[in-house]
Amino acid sequence: MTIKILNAIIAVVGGVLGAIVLYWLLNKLAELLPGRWEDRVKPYLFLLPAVAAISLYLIYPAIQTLIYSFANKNSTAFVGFDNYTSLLKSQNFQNTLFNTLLWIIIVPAAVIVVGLLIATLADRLGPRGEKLSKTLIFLPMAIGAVSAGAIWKFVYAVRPPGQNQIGLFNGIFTGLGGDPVNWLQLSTLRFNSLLLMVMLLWMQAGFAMVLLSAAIKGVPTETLEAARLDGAAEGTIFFRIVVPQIRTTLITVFITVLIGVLKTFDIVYVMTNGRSKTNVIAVDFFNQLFTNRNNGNAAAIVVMLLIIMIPVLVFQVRQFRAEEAAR
Amino acid sequence: MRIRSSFAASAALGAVAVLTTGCLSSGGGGGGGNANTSKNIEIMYAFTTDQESGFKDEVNAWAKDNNVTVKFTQSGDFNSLINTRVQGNDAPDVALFPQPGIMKDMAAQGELADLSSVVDQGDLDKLIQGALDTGMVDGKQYAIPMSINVKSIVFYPKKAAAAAGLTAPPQTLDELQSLSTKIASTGTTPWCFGIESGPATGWPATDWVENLMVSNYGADVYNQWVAHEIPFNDPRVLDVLNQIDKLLLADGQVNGGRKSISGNNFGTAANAMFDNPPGCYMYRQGNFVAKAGGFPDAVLADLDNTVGVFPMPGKTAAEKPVLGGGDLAGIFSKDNESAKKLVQFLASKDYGTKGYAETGAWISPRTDFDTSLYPTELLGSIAKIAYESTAFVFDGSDQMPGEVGSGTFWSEMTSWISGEEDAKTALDNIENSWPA
Amino acid sequence: MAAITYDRATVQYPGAERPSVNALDLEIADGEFLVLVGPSGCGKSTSLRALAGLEAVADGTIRIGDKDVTHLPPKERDIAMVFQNYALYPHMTVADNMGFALKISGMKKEETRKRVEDAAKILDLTEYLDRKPKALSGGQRQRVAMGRAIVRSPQAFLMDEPLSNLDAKLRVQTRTEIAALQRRLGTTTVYVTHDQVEAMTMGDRVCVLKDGYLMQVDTPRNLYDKPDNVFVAGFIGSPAMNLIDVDLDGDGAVLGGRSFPLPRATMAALAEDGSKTATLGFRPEGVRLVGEGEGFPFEVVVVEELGSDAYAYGTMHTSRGTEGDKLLTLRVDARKPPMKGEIIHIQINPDEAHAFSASTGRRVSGDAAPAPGGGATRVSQA
Repeated sequence: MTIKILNAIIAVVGGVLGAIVLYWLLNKLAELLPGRWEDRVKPYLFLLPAVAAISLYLIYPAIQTLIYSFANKNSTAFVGFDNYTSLLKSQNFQNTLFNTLLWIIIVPAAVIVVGLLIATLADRLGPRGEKLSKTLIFLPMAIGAVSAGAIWKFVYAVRPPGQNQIGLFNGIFTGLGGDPVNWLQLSTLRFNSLLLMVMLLWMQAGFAMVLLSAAIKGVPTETLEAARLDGAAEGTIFFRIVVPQIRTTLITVFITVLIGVLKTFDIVYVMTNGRSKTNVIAVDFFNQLFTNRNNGNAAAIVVMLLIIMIPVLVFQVRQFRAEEAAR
Repeated sequence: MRIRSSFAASAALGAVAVLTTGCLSSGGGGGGGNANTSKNIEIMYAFTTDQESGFKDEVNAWAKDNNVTVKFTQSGDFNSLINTRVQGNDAPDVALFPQPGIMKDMAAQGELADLSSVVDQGDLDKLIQGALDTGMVDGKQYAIPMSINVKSIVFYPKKAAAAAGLTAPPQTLDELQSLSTKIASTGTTPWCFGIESGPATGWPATDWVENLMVSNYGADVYNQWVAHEIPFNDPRVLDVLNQIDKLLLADGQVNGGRKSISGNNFGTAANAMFDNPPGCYMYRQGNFVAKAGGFPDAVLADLDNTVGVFPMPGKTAAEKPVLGGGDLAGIFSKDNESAKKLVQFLASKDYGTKGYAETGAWISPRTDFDTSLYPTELLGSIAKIAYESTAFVFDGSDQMPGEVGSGTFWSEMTSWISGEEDAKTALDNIENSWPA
Repeated sequence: MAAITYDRATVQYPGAERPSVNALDLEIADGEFLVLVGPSGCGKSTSLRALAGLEAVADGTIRIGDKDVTHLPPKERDIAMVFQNYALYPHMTVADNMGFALKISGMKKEETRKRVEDAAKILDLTEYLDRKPKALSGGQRQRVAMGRAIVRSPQAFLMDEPLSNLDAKLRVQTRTEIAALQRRLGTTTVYVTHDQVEAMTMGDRVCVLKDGYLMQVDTPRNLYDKPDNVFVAGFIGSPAMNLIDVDLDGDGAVLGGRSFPLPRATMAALAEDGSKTATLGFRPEGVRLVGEGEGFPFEVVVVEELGSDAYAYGTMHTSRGTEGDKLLTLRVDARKPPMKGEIIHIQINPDEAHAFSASTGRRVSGDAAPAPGGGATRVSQA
């Protein structure tokens, strides 16, 4: 233990000293250059370590992944586009892609709708009611996805008929005279996927609510009054006056949730591990890599995920720039 | 662009500090790997809780006598970690593989030491033959079983069973079927069954399939099937599924009905067995279910008087095949004497006698092991079933490629049992998912 | 276009101790430009918002035309409001801002466009129609807010301090423009301001409020010449009317050791409430300089020269002794202003001197209006 602590201290001190020495050397190096060049080169020299670190830890693995996606499962020989074609041809992966698409379409929109709804309604409560309801709704945000899984297992849990139903749904359902249902197995119309999405919604709605609530409070009351005088109904005011004014927050929330959705793993893994047509791309990736130990397929999935992500990221960067410019 | 402020400069400094620190810290870890002759050895394994603590005690006592220091590395994600560490040239000295598949990969890649010269070949006869065979690759012994679990066993409630007609263990599969029918005719479902196990849901179903494969067709066919030398969707497998359908899944056969199986946790599925009157009378499951988290506490407190066990029968009374599993010890540090000695110890008659067996968390793979050392009669009987087996085969799904063994085999069996698809489709899907 | 009536309208905010607007009685004629003025917290904005439907009326009624709108939602009152900070929709262009109400009402696009363009022409906004409010100057935004009101041709315009966010020069210019526009459109307008100059220059009539009570409503001229009470007297006019608390003797007020004679009727009215004191008021321009020995002595403390005018600030000693003396203001000849520290002698024009009851604050001199009920008893000198 003491050795570990000592090691940590040495590492920290050594790291900081190392960094200082590194920058000092870089600075000296720059100073060797003739005056004008010193100023020109120095910024680049100083940026070098950071750029090198990002290249090493981000760009290099990304390129390596791309390369692996064209190699076989042990990454020993190139197989061209085989990983992609076999994945895209497989019924399972098509299912996975379709589910992921459903998640992308439904969850961010649902989070925003629910977040907006709660934010709007909470805004109309008294200060204490608002605080309480917001705290409650925000709580799941602090719960990890796996813990959320543990909680929701008790919602969807099923026991054989005749035994006490410990699941909330089945408790109600059998209480009303039905037979216990294994909810997470109901793949008709992807009902089980929807049930899993509800979990993410449950976790993310609080986050959306907090941001959107702040944004709604930031909308000048006068514009609402002006709209009211202009003859707008409450719905019109909400959609034509409030929503456009909190647009940037909406987009921020949407993209944050969207990226969260694309990364969704824990919920599906814990609840169904992708059974009964609930698989999503991140779980498939995990299983390809760690269960099937198929580097090729796993890398190909990551590359496809990246390709899906790129438009989102580009949009986000553009949006960010537009906001900066408008400021 | 210029670094305008001292803040930016210090931020950059900090970033580099963090990164450099990251580089430094990789020095820690185990010495592992090849050509390590030190007396400090690292052993990696997947088991946990009392199985782990008993193991540590047993090995530490040995290490003390032999002047060896053992570093214990437990990993819940053994397969990925061992893979990563081997690739990073940081393998532990000794590994206790929970599944043979990855052990065989490692052996084939030349990572593991050939144990033929390490352990006394004569003494190895005392080990359960099938378990020993599992550690062989290309005729060479690369790993040796050091613990087993037994899955071809059927638990029953001792007090209530006789009344239901379970007076003597069925000797053949046919007798099992007729016993089952007899109990069913009393209006109570004979079987308990549940396959829910979180992300691993489905595996208890694969055990049933495997058990009936080895019972019906013997160890050779079973092993060929596991090794994919015969296709997964061979008609014999379909036959097994149909048998399961009739024996276990048909109306009136299973507690809660077929639809409930996939949502019923394997650990607690047998609880209905101890209700009064029982909801079911038989539960085929591994020995590990007779522990906390499995059977109810009241049952565990009085295990020997409450729970009985009989072996899953073979095709004939003479055949006693057993499906099981176990941990296989292999050596990564080929030249490390301490590692060799440790594995010799794990394979020896002495291993487990200094208190490990009494914990009830471990069953010796040695047929000459004194079953009176186990804490309960129940566990003794279970061990005896393994020791008296005519064939001992390892869990098949553990040996199949991950795509199948921890993938489609689980999920397709779940789909089939819950009625989402028929047996043929499930088997075809599994066969199609078998990696080329 | 329509007349507007407040009939004992009362507005009280939840949790407030007293109503913000207390039984307001006010009739605004069709096409009239009425200004609500008063210090902050007087209830002028609240009165306007109650008319707009943005505040709930606790008691009494408000009518627009013949329609009782007391409990109607804003959108059914057919009125347009210009807010202090304009309340433009930041995400809409100028054209959309102006056309929003028309669009909501389901007007055809071309018709909307035409009316917006017409309004923009009037307000000189044509070239900014496609801009967002963010890209406009303060004055332009103010005009957009006006435009948003006029495109609708509503029954009435309500304006809540629409000029207060403009700089002084622009404010003077714009107030003329608004007044002119209102005359041209002939739309009944209720205009709220705290600035009595705006009130005097813009309104056909001005309504002075204080603490939720109506003080006086009249033409600017009458407010200036015939303030109903001490508060209006002090509030209207810049520089403000000089108000001095005086003791009374037999036939006048004691001022600087001498008596300032008051008409008999005035004295009689003052005697009615048995008080020995009163408040004497006169405007800075309501005096003339006289030679020594005549009038009342006035000690000049400060002289402000404004070019066309000059104001002398100083004290006049009342019978009360020096502590109670306030700084009074006189308008003096800009070409021959008195010196600082000089003692001059002034005579107050009897026609322009007002006497206010010390107890009620009501004006009793001249053709004082009969005392209404309600808030008048609360009047006191500001």
